[in-house]
Formats: sequence, C-alpha cells, structure tokens
Amino acid sequence: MDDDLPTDFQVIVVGTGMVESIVAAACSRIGKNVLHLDSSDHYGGLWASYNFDGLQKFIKEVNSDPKRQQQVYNLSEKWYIEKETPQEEKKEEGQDKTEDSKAEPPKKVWSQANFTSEYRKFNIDMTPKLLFSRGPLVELLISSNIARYAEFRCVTRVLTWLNDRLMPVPCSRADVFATEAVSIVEKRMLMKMLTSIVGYNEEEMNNEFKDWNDKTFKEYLTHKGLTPNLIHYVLYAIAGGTDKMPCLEGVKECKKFLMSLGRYGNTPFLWPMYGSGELPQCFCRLCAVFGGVYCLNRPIDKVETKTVDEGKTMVTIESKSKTLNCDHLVIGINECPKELLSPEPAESCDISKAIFITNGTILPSEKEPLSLLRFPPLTEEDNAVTVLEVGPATGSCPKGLFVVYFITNKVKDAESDLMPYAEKIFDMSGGDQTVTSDKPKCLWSLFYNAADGGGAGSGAASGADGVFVCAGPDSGLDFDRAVSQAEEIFKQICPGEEFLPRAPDPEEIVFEDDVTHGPEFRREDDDADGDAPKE
Amino acid sequence: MSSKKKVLLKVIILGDSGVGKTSLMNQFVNKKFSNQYKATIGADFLTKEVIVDDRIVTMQIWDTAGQERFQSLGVAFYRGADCCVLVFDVTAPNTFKSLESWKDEFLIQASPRDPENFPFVILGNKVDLENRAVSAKRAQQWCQSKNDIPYFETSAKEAVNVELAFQTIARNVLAQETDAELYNEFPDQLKLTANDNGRNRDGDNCAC
Ligand SMILES: Nc1nc2c(ncn2[C@@H]2O[C@H](COP(=O)(O)OP(=O)(O)O)[C@@H](O)[C@H]2O)c(=O)[nH]1
Ligand SMILES: [Mg+2]
Repeated sequence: MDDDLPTDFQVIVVGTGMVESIVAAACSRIGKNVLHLDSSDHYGGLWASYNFDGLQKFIKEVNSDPKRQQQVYNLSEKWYIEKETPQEEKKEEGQDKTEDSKAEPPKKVWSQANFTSEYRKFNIDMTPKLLFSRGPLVELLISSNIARYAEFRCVTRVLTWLNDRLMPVPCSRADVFATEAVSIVEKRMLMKMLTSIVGYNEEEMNNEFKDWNDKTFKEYLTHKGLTPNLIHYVLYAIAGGTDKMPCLEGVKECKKFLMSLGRYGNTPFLWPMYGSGELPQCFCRLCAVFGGVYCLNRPIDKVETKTVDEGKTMVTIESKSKTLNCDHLVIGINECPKELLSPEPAESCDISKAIFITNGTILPSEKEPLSLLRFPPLTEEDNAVTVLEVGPATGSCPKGLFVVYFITNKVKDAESDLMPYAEKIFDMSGGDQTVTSDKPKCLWSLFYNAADGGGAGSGAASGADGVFVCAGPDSGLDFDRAVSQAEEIFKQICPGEEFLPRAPDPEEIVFEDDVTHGPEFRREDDDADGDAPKE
Repeated sequence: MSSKKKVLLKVIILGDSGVGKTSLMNQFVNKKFSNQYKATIGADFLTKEVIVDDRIVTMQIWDTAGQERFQSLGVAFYRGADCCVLVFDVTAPNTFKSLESWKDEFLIQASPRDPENFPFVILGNKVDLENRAVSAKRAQQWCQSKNDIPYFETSAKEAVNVELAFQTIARNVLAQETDAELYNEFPDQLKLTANDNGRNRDGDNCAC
C-alpha cells in the first residue's frame, strides 16, 4: 500500500503536533501540494491525547527509549488502588438493588481492572490547554471555518487557593456583585481598576500604567488600595501570576481574561471535547479536504538539503527506503533528526506536569464542574501552579471519575514540585474509597517533566535552508504560541498569502467538471474511464 | 410516542480508497456523479434531510477526506457516529476482504455503547460495471454472518439503490432509539460559530 505514496510535494510536514498541523492546513488551504507524515500510529505527537491503554504504551515506550526522553522525561506512574475489585464488594452491589432505592448508592470501589476494561472511555492529554473565548485559537477556528470539526465545553468556574482552602473566584460582573466575600467598597474599587485594565493600550504612551514599567503587579494592586483578598483574586487567579509578576504583564494577562468574558459561559475559557489532542486532527482534516495526503506510521530516516538551479533548495527525505522530495520541510521537534537542530540547546526552563485520576471533584457543585484552579506558590522558591479538573461530560473519563492536570515551571522535578499541591486537594493515602472525606481520593497518578517549547530560541529556527522546526508545547494556558509560530512558518513558506482564509461550507462548493445528473447522461465511454485503477 | 423532534444523525462512510465512498455521498446528497476525481477541493461532509415515518431526520454524512488511503484516519473522525456505512467495490475482491477490518476498526475507534447492535450497512458499489468479481450471494452471506447487516448493491454512477440504502440507515438508527429520544452521550456541547456574541448568553458581559 505504502508504495503508492507519491514522492514529490511542495511541502512535506513531519509530525502531527499542533504547530505542524496548523502549518499543514494553511499550506494546503491556499493550494500547496502537501504530504503530512507521522512516525507513530496516532495524531498529535507531543500534543496527543491517549486512552488508558494508549497512555500505558506511551509511558512504556518513553521510559525504555532514551532517544524519546528529549522532550518528555522522568515519567513516574503510581496506583493507589487494588489490582482487582475484592469479591465481597461485588456481593454488596447485588444486595443494594433490593434495599431502599432512595438511599444514595455507595461510592463505586475502583480497581485497576476497571480502568483496563473501560480504557476507551479515557482521553488523557499530554498537553492539556484551555482556549480563551476571544483568544487567537478560537478566532482562528472560527475565521478558517475549522470550528465545524470540533466541539467544546465551557469551563464552569475559576478557583483559587486562599486561606488554606479552595475558593471560587468571581468572574463576571454579576459574580462580583453577588459574592459576599467582597464588600461594597471593595467592589467599587475593583470595578474601577478592572475598567482601567480593559482600557489599557500598549501603543498609547500616556496610559494609566506608564509609571509602572519597572514595578510589580502586586505593587500596583496594593497602591490601588485593594484588600489582600482582592489582590489574591486578581494577581493569582485572574492574572495567574506570582508576587514577582511585572506590572504590565499582569495588566495584559488580566485584560486577556476580562476580554474573553461573556462570550460563551461564565468564565473566559473553553475546553475541547475529548481533550486538546482533538485540535491538531481538526487542522489535519482541513488539510486533507484540500488535497493533503496523510500517512501515519511513517518514520523518516534522513533529511538532506541541496541547492538546485537558481539557488533554489530542495529537501529530500528518506522514509522506509523511499525518497521523498519537497521545496519546504516542516518538522516537529520530536521527529527531527539531531543534525537538523541548532547545536546549542536553547536555555529554557522545563515544565513539571502531573495527571491525577480521582473519584470525585475537588469542590462539589450542583452540575458536573469543569474547573481551572490557580494555586499561588506555596513557598518562596515555587512557581504558580495551574490545575485543570475535567469530568466525564468532557469525554475524558468514565462516570464517577475526574482527570486532574497540574502544570508548573520546573524547579526540581515534577513529583517534588507538584506533590505538595496535590496533597492540599486530594486524599493521597490510598485508603478505603467508600469512606467519604472532604477531599476526593487519588486513584492513579503520573508525574513527568517536559521541555518548554515556549523557551527562548525554540522558535522556527533550523540549521538548513527550506527546513522549519516546530517547537514542542509551551507552558502557557492557551495555544497562543502554537498559533503564532505556525503563522510565522507559513509566512516564510508562502510569503504574501493569506493565512487560513475561510474554507467554504460543503454546500457552497460548486461542481465545475462534467457532472451528470444520475442516469440521464449515460454515454458509452463513461464506463471505460469509470473504472478505478485496480491491482 | 409520535414526537416530531428533529433528529441529527452523524453517518460515516468507510471502505478502501477508490470504492466510491465520495461518489455515493455526492450522489445521495447532490444527485451528482463525476468520473474525474478532483483533488483540489475534496469532499468534507454533506447534510441532507430525509423523512422517516413522518419524522424529519437530518443526515450529516462525513467523508474520510482521503485520509483512509494510507490508513491514517484519526480517532476524531469516528467521534459520535450514529451509524456506519461500509463500502466495497464489487469489481475488486480486495476491497470486499477489507470490510472485516474496517468494521473492527470502527468498533475500536468509535467504541459505541452497544457494539453488538450498532447500525451498520454494507454497500457493494459499482454494480454498473461489467467486470464484477464479488457475487451478490457471497456478499449477502457475509452480511448475514455478521448479525444480519443490511446489504445493498449500489451504483453511485447510475444512482442505483443509493437513496434506498441511506433511507434504510436512517430508519435503522431510529428503530434502535429508546423513548423517541436519541441517546446523546454528551449533551450541551458547544460549537463555535462566527456570530456567537448574541448566543450562549448565560454568562455576563465583560466585568467592566
Ligand atoms: N462505474 C462506476 N464508477 C464509480 C462508481 N462510484 C465511484 N466510481 C468511480 O470510482 C473512482 C473512485 O471513486 P471515489 O468516490 O473517489 O472513491 P473513494 O475513494 O471511496 O471516495 C472514481 O473514478 C469514481 O468516478 C460507480 O458506482 N460506478
Ligand atoms: Mg473519497
């Protein structure tokens, strides 16, 4: 089958991560002839989502192959539950049906075997991210019409860790006025300050913040007379910052948050159904619809560039003993042969991540919540920690469970960096699951570190002409960086061309070629050329 | 229960490259057939309303967009499929042999709630051609052995049985639903559209 693979393309994209997939779609959309490959049997690369079985394979593969530990490393998986459900438990379940039906069903006792048998119901993200409702990815999805391939869910609440407990953060004006945690005077002060943040314009020299360039956001908030609780909400939860956050950065982050309010739900954020790993596939589909050729399971062995006539470069790739040629090669950092990467690795701070599967939400609510929790640093050395909790309604896990993602900038290693935070909101003891406590029980965890694709120098650089290396995932909450990097690469490959113009709806496509209306126009010769080539 | 509620069905068409999937979709929805496969704007998905026992059913039919050619359909393609059309070419025995693996692949990737009774339909396409290589009997036997999957012999080119096949799919999906309500595993999902500032207004506007 693979032998049918055509060999000459204008653009070859290797790797199906977010950046690569956006570039592939953009090139194909304006008529470039695109081949898109991936060495593995699934889409997404470092941005993939896995079901539980796929995740187990991924962990094993990475842990057994040092070559794959450039981007993701220190993977450590742990169970907090039994291998099998104890027999007596099953009996109890049977008895319950005959008992008072109004009584609340006892909490399910999960075993590792349950995870294995329901593995398909999990969609676990290696790179979980949210979308700001008016952020660049949402705007791109809408303007390009790729949004038709994806579904989303609104984040229902933003939480923070305040006075040693979880606190909902008032997001909208209504929330602010409804909350009792904030006095009337504070509300006025807050509104005034938020208004000036929304009015902030970088270009305007004489703005409210012109004297705050070299000061921290916290200093600004304090100067504005905000009370400690309000400073906490604005600095840690809304701006996602720390005490050291520069004022203008805080203002920008706050503005982004505020500008995305009121579009979809009660918070400024969206979560993709089935996880972030769906999004690269949406871009790939558009690429395919416009003629892009797809081939997974196709590792590449060698990349060479040569100058052909008139100084034009041509890139050749060896893959499964076949030579593929193109004018431009776009390659994900995880697929990239070492010799193509710039010799000195960019100095960047890596990311510490963790994934937990729990038997309940961190803060019960009426409807299934979808939460963003922002922890301020618990100690001086720590960074702020971002937590995303997603439930069964997002297609992430079976009923009764939640998947919780932790992300922070690495200080030591993922486990040391994140465990203290996990212990604040989960019961990590592995004790009896039926006992109801104020914290959900952690059933399974995975800690890992990842290179930060947002670090300095990890842009679209590459040693060779005609070759563009896409960075891996960054630590940001949204996909801003991936979108801007993809656009940069596209502009270099296709200067002057529009980046992902709106794709027509299927109904708008007019057929120009010789179209026959059912049987009326039958001609002898139709039959002859109607045969698809067969082997 | 004679609910006249609108129903939306996601239909996906699978089968080897070249069997006529895109042509069947085009024939059913646009009543058009083209011998030239135009790669510039490939097929995406098309919608068509059909009436089944005086209920309006909107069928949204998703093409593979050519990603099946090198076995590279991603799991996203299969999400939320209500039924699956498996197509082979009656002149190409290999495409008939592939049906089994397409069916398995669908069940793995889409992981429907009730795989035993999931509505499939099999289409033996290109019956207008002379050089037939898979007999109707052989195809029928196979379908019977697979929990009696409905089988149709079609020609996308001459519009033979295409309408009937898709009607049957819609009917079979509806027959499986309970309480006149289609099972929706994940209600209230959000689609992003250009003018959504006026919609989804359960939130407040910007706090300023
Ligand atoms: N004679 C004949 N040719 C067909 C029929 N359906 C499709 N074809 C031709 O078979 C080729 C492949 O069809 P296409 O719809 O692209 O197949 P796909 O790859 O499965 O989507 C095209 O040349 C079509 O014109 C049919 O019913 N009869
Ligand atoms: Mg096709």
